[in-house]
Amino acid sequence: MVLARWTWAWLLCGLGLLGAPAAATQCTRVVFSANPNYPPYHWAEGERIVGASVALTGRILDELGVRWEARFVGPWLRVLKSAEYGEIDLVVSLKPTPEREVYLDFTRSPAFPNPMAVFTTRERPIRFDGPEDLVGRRGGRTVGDRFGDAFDRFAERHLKLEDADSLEVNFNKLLAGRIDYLVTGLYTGRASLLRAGLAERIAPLPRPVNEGFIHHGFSRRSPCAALAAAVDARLAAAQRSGLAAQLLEEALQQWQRSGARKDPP
Amino acid sequence: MSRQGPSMPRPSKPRIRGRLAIRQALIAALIGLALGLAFSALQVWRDYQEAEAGEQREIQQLLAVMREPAAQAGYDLNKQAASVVVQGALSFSPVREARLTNDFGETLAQGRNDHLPDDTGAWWARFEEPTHEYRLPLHAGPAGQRVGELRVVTTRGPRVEHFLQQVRRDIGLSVLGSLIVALTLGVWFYSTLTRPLLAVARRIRNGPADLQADTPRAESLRADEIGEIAAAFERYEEEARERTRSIEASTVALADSELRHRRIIETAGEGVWQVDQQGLTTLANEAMARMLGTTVAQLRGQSLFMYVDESSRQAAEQWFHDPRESHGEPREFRFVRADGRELWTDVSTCAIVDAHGRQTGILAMVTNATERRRRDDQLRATNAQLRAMVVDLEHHKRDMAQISELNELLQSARSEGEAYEVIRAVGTRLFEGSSGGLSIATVGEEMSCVAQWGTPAWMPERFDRAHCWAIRRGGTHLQSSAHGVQCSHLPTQELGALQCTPLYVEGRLLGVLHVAAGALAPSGANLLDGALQQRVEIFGEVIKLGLSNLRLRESLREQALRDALTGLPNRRVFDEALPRELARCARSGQPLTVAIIDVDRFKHFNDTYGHDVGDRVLCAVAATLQGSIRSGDLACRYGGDEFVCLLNGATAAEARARFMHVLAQARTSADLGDAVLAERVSFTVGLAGAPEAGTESAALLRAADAALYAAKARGGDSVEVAPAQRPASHAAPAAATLRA
Repeated sequence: MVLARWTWAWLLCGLGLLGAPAAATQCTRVVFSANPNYPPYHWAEGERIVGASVALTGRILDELGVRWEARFVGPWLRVLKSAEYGEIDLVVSLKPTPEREVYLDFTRSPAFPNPMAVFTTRERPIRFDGPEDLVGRRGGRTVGDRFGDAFDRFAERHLKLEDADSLEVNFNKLLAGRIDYLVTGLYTGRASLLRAGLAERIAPLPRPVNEGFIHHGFSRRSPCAALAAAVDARLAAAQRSGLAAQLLEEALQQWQRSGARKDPP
Repeated sequence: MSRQGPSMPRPSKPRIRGRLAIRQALIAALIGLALGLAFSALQVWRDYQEAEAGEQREIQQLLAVMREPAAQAGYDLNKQAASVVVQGALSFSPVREARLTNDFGETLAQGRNDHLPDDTGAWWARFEEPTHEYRLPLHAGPAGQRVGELRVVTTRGPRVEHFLQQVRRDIGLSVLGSLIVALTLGVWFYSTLTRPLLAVARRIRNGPADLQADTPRAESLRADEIGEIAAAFERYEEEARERTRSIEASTVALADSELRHRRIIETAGEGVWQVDQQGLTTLANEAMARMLGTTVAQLRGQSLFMYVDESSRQAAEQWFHDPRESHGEPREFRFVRADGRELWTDVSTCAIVDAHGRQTGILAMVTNATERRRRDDQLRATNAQLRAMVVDLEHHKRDMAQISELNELLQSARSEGEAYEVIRAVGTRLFEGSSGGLSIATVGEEMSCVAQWGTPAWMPERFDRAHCWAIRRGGTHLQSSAHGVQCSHLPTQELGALQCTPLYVEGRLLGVLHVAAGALAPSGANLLDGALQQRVEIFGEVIKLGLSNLRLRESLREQALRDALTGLPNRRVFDEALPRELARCARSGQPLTVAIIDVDRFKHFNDTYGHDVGDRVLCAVAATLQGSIRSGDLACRYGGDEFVCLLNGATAAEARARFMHVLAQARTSADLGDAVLAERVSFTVGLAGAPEAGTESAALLRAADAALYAAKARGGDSVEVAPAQRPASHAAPAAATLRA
């Protein structure tokens, strides 16, 4: 009996869905999220995600005439999991990996450049022309960070990279001299430095470790995945027009301002 | 004690002193044991509840501690942190499994603790659930959203271990408590129940030291049920003593009573007879023996039914043995005394039953009813006679009515012919079923039958009175085949009993009444019964009286209307007849003639030959006149020597011719005077015819008388016709005198 009742219920639901297929399958509103702590690309401010990614994506979606919401859903892993289960439609500005490809449809065009850079103290700069320059030096990185297959393989064989829980810890270690350099994202590192007020003491080396890019990934369970092509085209245009880089810079400023508001000296 | 019946003493079992105390001790121990078990069970149950609640409490505490880190790990989807939480949970003793899942249903971390103590193996442990599961929903994030769940599963091993430890500790306390309770109960039982009961038992066993002494009774002053029992025992003991005394007194009274009743039975006037179920005598008193003409000693052992008359023996046996019969009502039986004489008795019985209600015999009260029965027989006979008398009286009354009717009818009869018809009719009714008749004496010796009734009609029309024995005997004559002599005038066929009653009036035979009994006669009877005889006699008497009365009346009438000397109607008759006949003739237009006749020289005859001869002359003239007139005419003596004749339908001329003829005849015949006288007797006739000579009686008579005088004047012995009154009449000169 229970089975029968549920069968009927499912049938009714199915009929309801068939009766309004457009409403169910059409993307009328894009909810997207991102790592809540990845400035200047994006970071959490209350219930919202702000940053360069949000500015760029919002602009694109506005141009496409799609309503959108940049929602804070939790820590980064929770954001990914939400996209995996279709609870959000889009994860902006993240690195495509084979595991993520399973549940995310990445745009071909990158949203932003995300180069990895080596940071050192201004007091003890090192010369960096290639990874080989780092051999024999103590390095640091944040747990889970990846820097491209080539560098990662090299680092695994030849480099001594200490994992720390956060970028701040690595900055402290760097300042304390426990490590000689730190490998992390150029923009994120800069943002952390700005927020920590260490921009005067620690600075990235001019040559990046690699030229990484980050893309938008639509949840494969979202009806808005159909927007991927349009968004991709707009991203390419933004890339070409330098809009992305400009927005990054603006975001850094915004990040710094928000830090000043939040943590008055 | 009370169970030992007085008739069958039972061998008493060996008594064990203090049985009650042992029993009470056992009861106390059992109650203690039961209480101990109950307490222990309660305690075990509490321990079990405690073990359950303890585990639950501890797990809740654990989960409270784990809530924050687990929620954080779930929020962050941090498997390491989740693993730490899971390991922390597993480190807690009863937890066998722990798992942390996120809100997407994925397991972040899970673990299992295999080092927990195993089940104790106790059989009852199977009734305990092997695992308990606890779930803690996790909420985190700024909105407090649900981020996962921590599930912890505990196993029963540690719980059971903990429970067993508790039980081991508590069970000792329970046993101790039970012992204390049992001891307390034992002491309480002994002091409140056993000791008083033992005292009561001792009192019952040993009895009071002194029956008369007013010693205080054991335990009877107590306020509880034992006190009531003791008091009741004392009361019953007292009652038993009273009852014993009462029974002894009753026994003496009973013996006196029995003696008194025996005396009553022995001296009773009525017979008392007690028999067993077979009818054999078990008790009989002197009166009974006297009634049967035997002795009490001989009666004893003999069957009652032996003395019952054979004809009613079977009925008596049935009556005595059938319990449905109503023995309260006395019933009559015929006994046969020892000397063979009959003895009528009224017997009433009652059943004698034993203590179980079974009938063991019958007690009969016998009353001698012989004398009463004899009186009853007499009474019945008298009653029958009275009934017969009443019937006779009724018959007599009916007969008297008939007789009375006969009498009245006879008194009203105007002739003997009517009287005979009345006698026949009444005789038919009065002697219904019989036959008979009345013969009347006629002239001479002959008897003539005038009335006859019944069948067959056997009365002869006439018979000679010399043939009748009744007439000859001058009284009632009875005749039948076995009595008397049959009269020769009667038919020879058998008539049965016959009664001939001669009816005499003043010595003269009036007639003879014959009545043959016929069907009325009782079979074989040789005579008529008394009632019939009486009826015949009364009938005869009434007939005698009626007939003689009738004849007397006829005689008187004759005397009033006829002349005694000549036998002719007298002047009164003529005076009545004349106007009547005149009127008749006037109506019919017939002629009528009146003749006045006067004897010539009658004074001469009287004076010469005496009155006797004169009378004879008158008689001769009367006879001549009577013989000369027709049957419808009337001849009367008018007085003295005058006669008148009324001639109907004859004119004066015709009448003259006829008288002329008579006178002529008288001259030639010797009838008128010559036979007795030396000279001839003649007479003169005066005639007056109506309507010529007159239409009225007086006128007519005057005319006739005038004519007579005229004839007399001419010397008599002639006929003179009165002239017609009217001048036109031609009869006036017709007056002529004829002379011989």
